[in-house]
Amino acid sequence: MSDSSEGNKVSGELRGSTSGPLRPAASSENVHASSMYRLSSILDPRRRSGPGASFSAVAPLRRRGLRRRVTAALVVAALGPVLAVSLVAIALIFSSVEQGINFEAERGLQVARGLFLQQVQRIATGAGAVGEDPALLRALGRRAPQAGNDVRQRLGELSTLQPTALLEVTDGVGRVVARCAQGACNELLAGPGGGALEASDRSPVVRRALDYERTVSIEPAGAALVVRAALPLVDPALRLLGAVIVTVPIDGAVVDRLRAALGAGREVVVYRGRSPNASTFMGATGARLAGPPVPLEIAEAKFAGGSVRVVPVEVDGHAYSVAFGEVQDVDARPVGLLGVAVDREPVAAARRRATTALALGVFVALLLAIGLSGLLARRMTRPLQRLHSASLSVARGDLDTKIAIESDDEIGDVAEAFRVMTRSLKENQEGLAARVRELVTVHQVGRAVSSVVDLNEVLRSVVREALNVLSGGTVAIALAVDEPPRTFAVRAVAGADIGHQLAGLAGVVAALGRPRRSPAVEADPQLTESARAAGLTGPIIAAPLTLKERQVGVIVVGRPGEAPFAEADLRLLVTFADQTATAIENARLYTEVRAFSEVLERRVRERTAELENAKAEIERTLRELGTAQGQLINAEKMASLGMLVAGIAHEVNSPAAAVQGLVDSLQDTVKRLGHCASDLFVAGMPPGSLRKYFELVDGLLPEMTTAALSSTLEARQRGKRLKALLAGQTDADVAAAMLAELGELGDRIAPELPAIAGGTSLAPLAGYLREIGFLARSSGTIRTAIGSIRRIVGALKRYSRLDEAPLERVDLHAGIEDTLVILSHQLKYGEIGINVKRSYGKLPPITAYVGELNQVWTNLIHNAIQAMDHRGELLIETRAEGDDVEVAIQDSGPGIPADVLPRIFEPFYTTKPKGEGTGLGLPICMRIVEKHGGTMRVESEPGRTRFTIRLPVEGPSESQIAAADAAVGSVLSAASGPHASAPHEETSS
Amino acid sequence: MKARAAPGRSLAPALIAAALGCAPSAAPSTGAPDRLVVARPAEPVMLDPARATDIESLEVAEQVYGRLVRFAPGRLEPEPDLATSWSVSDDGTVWTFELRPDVWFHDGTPVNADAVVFSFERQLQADHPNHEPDFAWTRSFHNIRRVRAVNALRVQFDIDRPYAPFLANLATGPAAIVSPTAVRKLGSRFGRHPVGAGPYRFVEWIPGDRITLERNPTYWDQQARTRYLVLLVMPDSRQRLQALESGAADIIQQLAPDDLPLVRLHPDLRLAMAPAALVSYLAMNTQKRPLDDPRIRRAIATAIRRDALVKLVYQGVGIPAIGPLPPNVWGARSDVVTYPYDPERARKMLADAGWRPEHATPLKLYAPSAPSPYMPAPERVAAIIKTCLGDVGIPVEIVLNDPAEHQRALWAGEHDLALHGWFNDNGDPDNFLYTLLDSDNTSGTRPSNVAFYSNAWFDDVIGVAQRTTDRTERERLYSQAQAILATDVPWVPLAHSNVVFATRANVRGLVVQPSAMGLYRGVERGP
Repeated sequence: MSDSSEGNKVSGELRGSTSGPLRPAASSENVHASSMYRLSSILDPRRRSGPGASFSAVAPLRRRGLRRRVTAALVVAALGPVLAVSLVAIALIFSSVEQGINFEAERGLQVARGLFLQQVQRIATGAGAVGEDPALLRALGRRAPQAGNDVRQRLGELSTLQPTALLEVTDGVGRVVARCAQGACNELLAGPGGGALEASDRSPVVRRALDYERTVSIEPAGAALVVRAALPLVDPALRLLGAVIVTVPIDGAVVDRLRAALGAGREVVVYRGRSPNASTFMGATGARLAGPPVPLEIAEAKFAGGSVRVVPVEVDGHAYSVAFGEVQDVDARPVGLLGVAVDREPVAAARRRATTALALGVFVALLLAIGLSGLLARRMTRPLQRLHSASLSVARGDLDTKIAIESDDEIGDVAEAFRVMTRSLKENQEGLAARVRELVTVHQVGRAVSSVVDLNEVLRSVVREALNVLSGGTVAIALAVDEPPRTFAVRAVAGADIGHQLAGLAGVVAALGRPRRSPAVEADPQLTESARAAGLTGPIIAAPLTLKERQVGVIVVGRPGEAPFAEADLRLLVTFADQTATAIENARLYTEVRAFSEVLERRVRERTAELENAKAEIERTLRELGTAQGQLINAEKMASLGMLVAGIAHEVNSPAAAVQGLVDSLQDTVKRLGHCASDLFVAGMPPGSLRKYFELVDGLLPEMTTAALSSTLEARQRGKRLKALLAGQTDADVAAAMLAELGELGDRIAPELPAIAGGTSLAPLAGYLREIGFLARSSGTIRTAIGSIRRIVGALKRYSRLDEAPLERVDLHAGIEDTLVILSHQLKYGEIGINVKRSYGKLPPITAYVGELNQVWTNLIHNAIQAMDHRGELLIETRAEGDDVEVAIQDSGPGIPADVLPRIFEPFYTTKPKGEGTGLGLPICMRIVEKHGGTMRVESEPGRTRFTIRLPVEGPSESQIAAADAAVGSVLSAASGPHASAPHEETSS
Repeated sequence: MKARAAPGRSLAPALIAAALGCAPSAAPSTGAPDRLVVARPAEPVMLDPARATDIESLEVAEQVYGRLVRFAPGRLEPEPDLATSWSVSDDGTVWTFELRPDVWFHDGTPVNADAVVFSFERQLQADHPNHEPDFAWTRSFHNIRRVRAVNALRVQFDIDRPYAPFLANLATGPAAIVSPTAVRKLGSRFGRHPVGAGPYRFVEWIPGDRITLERNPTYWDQQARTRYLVLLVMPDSRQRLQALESGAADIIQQLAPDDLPLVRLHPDLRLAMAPAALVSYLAMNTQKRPLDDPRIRRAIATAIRRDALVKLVYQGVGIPAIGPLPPNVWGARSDVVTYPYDPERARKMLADAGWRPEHATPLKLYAPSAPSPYMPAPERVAAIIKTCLGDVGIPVEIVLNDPAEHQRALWAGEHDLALHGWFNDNGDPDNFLYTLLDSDNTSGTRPSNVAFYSNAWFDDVIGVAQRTTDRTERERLYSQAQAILATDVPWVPLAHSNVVFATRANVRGLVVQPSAMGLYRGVERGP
């Protein structure tokens, strides 16, 4: 019914009356409504007529459908197999006929080939007879001049015996001596078939014959295919006289003989190569046809080991299956094809017959199937229709309907079952009406009971309903007041006031432990006493309120007058009793729950207080932790500072010590200079010379400041050279030694001195020069030392503006260089050292906290130095990259092990011995870089560890700074954060 | 309705396809694919290897039985069969064979030393419970003193003197190892129900029609490729050829020479040829005048146009013989002195030998009237020889006899000249040279030396070669023996012919043994 869209309205009503109960309710909100509707529809017979009418409206549709369906099924059942079997049979017939034809063709080919080769063999035998013909051999052996004539004559005679053959005789070297056919001999004879035969003296069979071999072969000769037999001609002593060659063209006569042996409907074709040579096909006029051309698939086919192929070929408008096989020569070379054609007309006829038979058969089967199945369907559906109309009237509510079906088949069974069903339906309907009334009440009571928590309210509601439903005069509920229940007190009464007196009766009923129904309570032996005490008479029913097998109360209903309570009344009362007991239990439970929830609330309050305490504790701990963090960060700063101080002390100390030393010796130098000056004045040099000398010395002073000192060996050699130069001058040897100490300057000045001295001693001149030189050198050294101290102090000054430096535009290179200066003592470490390679790009000044960045460079370079163990190469690369700059610090140390690498940014992760590292260096560097809005990454492999820092030129944003400042503080607590880090320490590996 | 129609529609083509696909192929069927059919000209006589003497019987025995050693495919060299290895004592008289373990006869009896001892003792000991009076090969093994089972897999043969060809003899038919269980059970009927350990087991024998063998699934070596081997009896060569053409037979034996061209020209058929271990020859009775004179014998050899004769008569299925040994037998020499056809020289040689043709009585040339495997047309050959010898002044009278009478006459020494041939049976040079030319074999009722040739030097060389187990030394000795023969010319060696089988083109793996038997276990049939 649901498949009819126009029947929507109808089926909606139907659902209400019949199919509804079988379905789940459409939605929860109308459960009650629909159940009430169902109820009333059962109770009210008037409502049945509507849906019943709609049944009859649908029925005709259905009836027709059923019969049609049965008919169709029967037709299909009958016709399907017939069709399938017929198709398969046809296919089998077709294929077997096809196979039969193919097989015929192949057999034909085999037979034809056998016959053909037998013919060939006969030709060979015929040739053998020629070859052993005594007259011919005699003629050949004669060697007389007319031997040729004798041979020709005899060969001519022999050729008449083999009318189709060309006979040839050669001499011992293969020259043709005679060539005869059909009795005529001519050197240039045409082949017997009319076509010219190729001279056979070039045939391989002749060569074989001249080597005593008898051969027969099938050979191409000209445009034709021939059988050619050759054999040696020998005299009795086996002397070779020549060869005889018998050539028979494979022509119509040959194939006709094959065809004659094959029978009707067969044709034979022989091909030379792939073109027809001879065939038995005849045209409509009776003229011999050349035979069909070789189909492409055969022309290209490879015939392996005598295989045969069958293909359909059309000749002169007629279809044949042709089996093709190869024809080969004596050396098994293919020379042509043999084809046997079998007429396909039988196949076509078989197909026609089979198709006709099939069509006819199917048609007849169809007619039969339709007729028979119509009959069958009617017979099968008639009882069904009766059953149908009966069920319709039952559905309309006429439960007295009779079904007129008396058959012994399944439909009969169904009818009988229907009858039984109708009967029981009728009975059930009557019982149902009564039951429904009870249920409605129970339902109402139940709803009242379950919706009210207050026990007294419940009890009142129960007695009220019970009074109504049971038509009582008085209803009372008494509940036990002690435990175990012995004494009862009336808690609710409805109707006559006498109910208040029924506590005693309740006790008796409770003691009985089961419901009681008495037509007259005064006559009930067990109740009479308590009834009399209460003054109750007449019929009563009473039921204990049982809760977990305990009688917690009793409900008693009395009725004035004579009408006794029915069994159903008692049943209803028991239901009331059960519901009441449940309500009592609910009320008790409710009380318990309330008490429990109060306890719970108290507990929650206690716990909340505890939690608040704990929270305060945690907050305090966190504060302490924050302090500790600060201390730790300070410790790291102190550690880097300590690192710096050690280096700086050294850097400052060395030049200071040098200055100190020089200053100490300068006093002596000044003293000696004074002496030299006085010596100069007392030496008595020519006037002007001294001035010239001082001018000379003044000119040399700048050079002297930086001039390199000679080594001892150099000085000695130079001394000897100068001594020779100055030979003859006064005090030349002393002067030479002094000048030699000046190194190259001495060489340059020495030649000037004799002129200046003018014969006086050279010693004062040289001495003064030496002292001045020393003084100049010392002052240069002191300047350098002071310079380096100033440089360090400057770097330190810049560097140490760690925390207080504001955000400013800085030159990254300057910061890096400062760091290198500060770490320079570690870079050159005794004999060994680290080669610092700078690969600086052109960088714009960037906005940064220079002090913090310096801390980053220091950390990274210091780590690198330690990783390289003070030897190797430190590469510092910088480059601008868009809006960023990149600084890479790369060392040639052993690398960071793969298992360590991911952890190096973790706080407190250190591979240094305990106490040497805080494990905070790299994490702090990371935070600093992040504070600048930059990134830091590391890549490491043995011999190449590279930290790359990328910083934005524009510097960090306000929020980054704020976040990063917080982050630097929380390095410790962010151990599991995304940027967890640890000092980079490769030495551990 | 719809739902039901669909399978019907799809089922029909499927069924049609199945019908077409499953239908048997229309190709001309040549028997069941797992069956190899061989058509042979004669019925075997007896399948007990100790009693069989005919090639048909021996060929069946070859398939059914294993031996201690067997001939390698296509060669006349012994290779391990049921024995895996062997050794000879220093004095050359004790041969010890180690047997292959876990080999069973077709009836399940294990192949062990006891079975080997049994197989030989029943032939050697006339009082053996399973000895039969018609055992044909007892002489072949007369040199065996004792056969002893050393343990389950080791057998020892004591022979009376050092005899090198002994090993080759153990590869021949009568050395087949038979199932003692079957022989004891069947007694003299064993010859109809052979049980061995060969590649095929016996299934049935329908006299006059066929013998069917089935692949031995427990054969120690590569199992036969086709399950059944059917050996048909078809006496008529034409019938055999037709059976081959139609596919009723896969292999035929003893093709008629006239049918060779047909097979060559037939694309479905193939020739399977192999040089046979045989020799055909013109024996000259050296005990009779004038053939006791080697000069006369040499002249006769020079007078015969042998090469042309072989070409003409054998038509490609034989080669001219230089000496007794076919080229496929080890030790064969081709560099000995020969006597090329030269009638002038022959006449001169005869004159030098004092031959007086005008006084000569014709020499009797005995020839069999029927072709044999070693000679296709004896009558023709005899005629040619008669002409050739007549040419140089030696009159010849041809005596044609049926083969049995021919053999008898030769044993009796009635001939001057005789056409004869020898089918070697063990592949050893000794089997030609000793059997056919040693003076030991000129006496007795069945002398195999039908030239009655007796040369003490030759006998000595052959004797030493028999006692020598060193192969190289034996070759040297046989080379010497062949040189002696080349000058003494007790025969005019004629030809070594080929064994010719014809097969269907789809037959592969057939080995035609020099013994003229087929080795069928490797044969496969193509599509």
